[in-house]
Amino acid sequence: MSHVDTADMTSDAPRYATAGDYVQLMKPRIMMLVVFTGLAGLVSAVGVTGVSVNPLMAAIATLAIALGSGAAGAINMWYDADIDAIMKRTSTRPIPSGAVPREEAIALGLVMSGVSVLLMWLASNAVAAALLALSIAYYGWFYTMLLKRRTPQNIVIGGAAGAFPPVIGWAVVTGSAPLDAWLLFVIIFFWTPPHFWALSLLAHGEYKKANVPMLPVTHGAKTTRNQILAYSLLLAPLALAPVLTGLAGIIYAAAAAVLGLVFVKLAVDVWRSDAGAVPVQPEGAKAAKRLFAFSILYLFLLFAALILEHGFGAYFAMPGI
Amino acid sequence: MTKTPGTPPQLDERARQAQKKRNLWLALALFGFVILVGVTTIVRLADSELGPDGGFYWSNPPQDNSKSMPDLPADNESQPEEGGD
Repeated sequence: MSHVDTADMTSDAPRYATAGDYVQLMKPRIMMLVVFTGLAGLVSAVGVTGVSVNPLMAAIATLAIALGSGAAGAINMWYDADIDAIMKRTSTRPIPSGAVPREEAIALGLVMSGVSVLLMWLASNAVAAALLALSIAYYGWFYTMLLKRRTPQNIVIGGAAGAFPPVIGWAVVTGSAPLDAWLLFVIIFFWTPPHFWALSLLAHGEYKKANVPMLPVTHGAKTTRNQILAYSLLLAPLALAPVLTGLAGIIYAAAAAVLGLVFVKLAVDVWRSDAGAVPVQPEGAKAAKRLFAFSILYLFLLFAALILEHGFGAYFAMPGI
Repeated sequence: MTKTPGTPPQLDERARQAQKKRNLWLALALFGFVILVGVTTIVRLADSELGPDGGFYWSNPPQDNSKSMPDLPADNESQPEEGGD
């Protein structure tokens, strides 16, 4: 695997890095979702187990999750600088734009990894710290360096990296990771492929140019649309599993049912469309864009329902469970 | 930008300003980290159990050993009777 020198990526006018460039290295939008799902795990654990946690320690543990996510993002940007420079969507990132040297990105990633795990250990316990370290290694090394450029299943297997935060949040409170925590893991795990493949249907030409074996590149748009539908059909009922264990109550159940139906409807729209076709068909692209945008809202609202139930006393158990 | 061995690189004004800003952010980040570790340590220690005498330290408590030692029985009383005739 070859990496191009960042000097080749720079434009003529020198660009000097600002603090904002280093924030961008940490993928702040992903970080927000990671923090939110981690917080949902933490709040749910408090609600379910009744174990109290010092609010300041909980805040520092949440910050550690954010820093860990940022560290993994920086490592990913360091390694993927060459393909980021090729793809239009990522060509303005700090490294390919010439603002931040690659060496600084990896230094930031490694230092932040250590800082986040150390902070997590200090603020909570060894289990949460170990899970955080595992998730950073999973994304920064296993997904980025081993999977992404080798297999079209990169997103499926790599999706586990983004599924760790609620488990970590749970472990912050209890020092363990019981079944309920892993149910939240499973929801994000099955949410990731339809979410990301909807995006890759829109940008498969770019992935092809960068030689990244995303599913639409290796197996075509039709197979990808089939897979999106299959994963969406699995996700919708799986999202109701927390209701069966008593982790979630009526509000979550209603949210998961309605959101799941909308998710499946949008996935069917993509499946019936010609999204990912060459040349690009506006209707198909619109359907994929709608699914991609809604998938973010879906995960946000699902975990918001959990926070509402356990953090704001709105938990009402489902009758008969 | 020319550079001879052993001398720092000559930066233009914009580069110097950018470097200053970065250094400032780095200093703030380090300061923040130190504060976080400090606060965490204080909270964790405040939550932890105190020593048996209500003191802060568990190890090497400065105490008068002679007072805390239990009274030993006299020598003749301490010898267990062994065997028998």
